[in-house]
Amino acid sequence: MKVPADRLYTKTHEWIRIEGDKGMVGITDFAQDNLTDVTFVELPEVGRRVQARDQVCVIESVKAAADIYSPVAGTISAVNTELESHPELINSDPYGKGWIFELALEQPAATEGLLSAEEYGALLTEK
Amino acid sequence: MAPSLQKSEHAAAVDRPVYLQVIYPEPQPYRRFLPFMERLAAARAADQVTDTILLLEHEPVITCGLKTRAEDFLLDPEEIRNRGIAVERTSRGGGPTYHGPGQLILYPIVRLSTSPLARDGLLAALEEIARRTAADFGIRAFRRPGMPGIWTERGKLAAVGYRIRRDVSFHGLSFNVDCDLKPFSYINPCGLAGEKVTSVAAESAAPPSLEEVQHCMLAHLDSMLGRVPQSATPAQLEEILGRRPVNG
Repeated sequence: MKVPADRLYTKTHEWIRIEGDKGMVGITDFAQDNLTDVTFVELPEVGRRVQARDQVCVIESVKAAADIYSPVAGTISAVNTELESHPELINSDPYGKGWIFELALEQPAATEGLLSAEEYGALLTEK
Repeated sequence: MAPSLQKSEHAAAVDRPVYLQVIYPEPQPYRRFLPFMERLAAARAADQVTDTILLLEHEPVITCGLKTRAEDFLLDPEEIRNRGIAVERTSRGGGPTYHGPGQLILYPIVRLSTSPLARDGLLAALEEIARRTAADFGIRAFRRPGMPGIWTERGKLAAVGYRIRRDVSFHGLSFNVDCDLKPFSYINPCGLAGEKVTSVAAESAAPPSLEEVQHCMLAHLDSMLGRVPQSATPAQLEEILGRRPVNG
């Protein structure tokens, strides 16, 4: 299971890559693997203010659906509209072209409670 | 007072993680069961209860997963209700399906990050449980590429659909043992037009009882989980949830 080191993770299988005052959010390889073939992504509304752990959207697959949560507080500043016509990007490239939304972070970005790649990887192997 | 839970005899004194196993003796009405299952999933997410497997039958119902379209109904929902079958919206992914007496339901309310069922994906795990259970009764069942569920040459034997909230799964697997297959013809099951459904009874000369199938299914589940089942009655599960208030 791929877990890139250049970002932070939630226990509910989102990742966030923070650069300056922006954070890019998507779901992990483990999450897309458990969803199977994604068919629809309900993109959140740009401008919506969210708290950490708020439910932001739902991703549907052929046989499953998963609720997606915001890793940190912020305002949704962009969404990946490419997913409207290519929801399968979530499966093929969950850490890249399958990103879901971007947050304008509240300063300073509160990242307590988020996991490093190492910690997230350990969470998945403790079975 | 914590309800006293009985550990299965064969599993006693084995130092492995446990899971809670709850078997419902009577078919459950979907409309009442869904909010209960959602409450259980929220309690699991809050660590107020351990991983729990529910085994049950439903009273006759057609449930509409999130992907259900109006054209998946081949008979007017009102007419379906007139025939004694409830029609309910639900929170799982996928299209419409039928549940009723004689169909075995397995709902895994488990934390995915720590469950062996999610190691290679929950869909594959539930399909494998169904495939192995069918094999116990001499039925050659298989996966079909791009067509989730478990199939025989005659049609679909088992269907899978679930939801994931806060790392916890709910909904799950339905396995046709000896149920009325006619209601499947009122819909495009799982959104698939023209695909047939089958059951263990339709596949075998001497159909087994639901209890026998349940027994085999649980054995496969346990071997895939590598965990010790701890039996609780439906009332004990209610008590566990009742004494611990659920957040949100």
